[in-house]
Amino acid sequence: MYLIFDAAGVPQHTQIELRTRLNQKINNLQPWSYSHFEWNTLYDPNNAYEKAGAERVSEACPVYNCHGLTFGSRRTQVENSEATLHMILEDDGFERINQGLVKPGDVVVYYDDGGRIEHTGIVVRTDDKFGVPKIWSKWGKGFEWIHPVPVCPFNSSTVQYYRLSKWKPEEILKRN
Amino acid sequence: METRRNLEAKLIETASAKETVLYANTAQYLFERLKRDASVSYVAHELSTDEILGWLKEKTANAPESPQELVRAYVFLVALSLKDDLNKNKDQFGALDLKQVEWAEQIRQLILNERVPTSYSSVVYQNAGSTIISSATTSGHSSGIVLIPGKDFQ
Repeated sequence: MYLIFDAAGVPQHTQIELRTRLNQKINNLQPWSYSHFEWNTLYDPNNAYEKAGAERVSEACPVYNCHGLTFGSRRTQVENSEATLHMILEDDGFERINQGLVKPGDVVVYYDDGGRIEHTGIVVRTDDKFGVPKIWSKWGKGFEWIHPVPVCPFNSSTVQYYRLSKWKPEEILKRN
Repeated sequence: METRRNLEAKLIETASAKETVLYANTAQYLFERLKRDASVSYVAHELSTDEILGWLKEKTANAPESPQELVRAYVFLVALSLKDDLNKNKDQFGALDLKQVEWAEQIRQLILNERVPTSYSSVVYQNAGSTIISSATTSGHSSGIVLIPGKDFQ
């Protein structure tokens, strides 16, 4: 793999081949702008989320986003479009489930007030005494966090959970 | 180009503005959060539309050298959404070369979309045999009706 630098020595964005289970191309981008040290300078040490129970578990990194963590193994920023994300959910065999049935490994999708997907993450714990799942997610170009569902900068008033429950090809293909 | 007034960096690069840029996944997220940020209100209050456009023209010609510069670019850009007189400078705004700043083009579109007339009201006022029809368009968040002073409506 190689990076292309512009005249100012800035690495240019790249893309990788990423596909759904049904072999549809997933739009993605790998921005290499600024080092993780530089991104870290935007972090406020007096962070309200940490005080509310969120735990930082990585350094900042612009190369992948929340969807890249959830659906792309941290390799790249998966395009934040409704079409791309719904394609992944459908092609990969995810099914929507009720919060009461959530277990580790399920995916949480946050929606903004307009019903657009704003954020995604992976459920890692469900043993909270109040039944609030804990999520592993990446916040923008920043850090990965383990956090209770509502303790994040995204709109948590509307979240939906999905489980990768269709394992057999015929189950996934049946919808098509 | 330096702005006429000395702006305080700490009031532009607020912790919340930096956090918003760091955590943003989309242009929409960035725009909606920054619009409510004190940094954007500060810039919109302190600088004229011309000054903000001038700053953006110079600073966005090249890729921001640091995340802090990126924060500034976004704050200045979003500050234009609070400017009532932006429509007068629409051409200048549209001519800005924003491709060096990741979501700037999308944010410009969001600002322009907000400026599309959102309501249209006609007031028909008949007075002493003559009919006056007035119309009004509004942009941004508000809408309203133009009231025409005069005698009683018939």
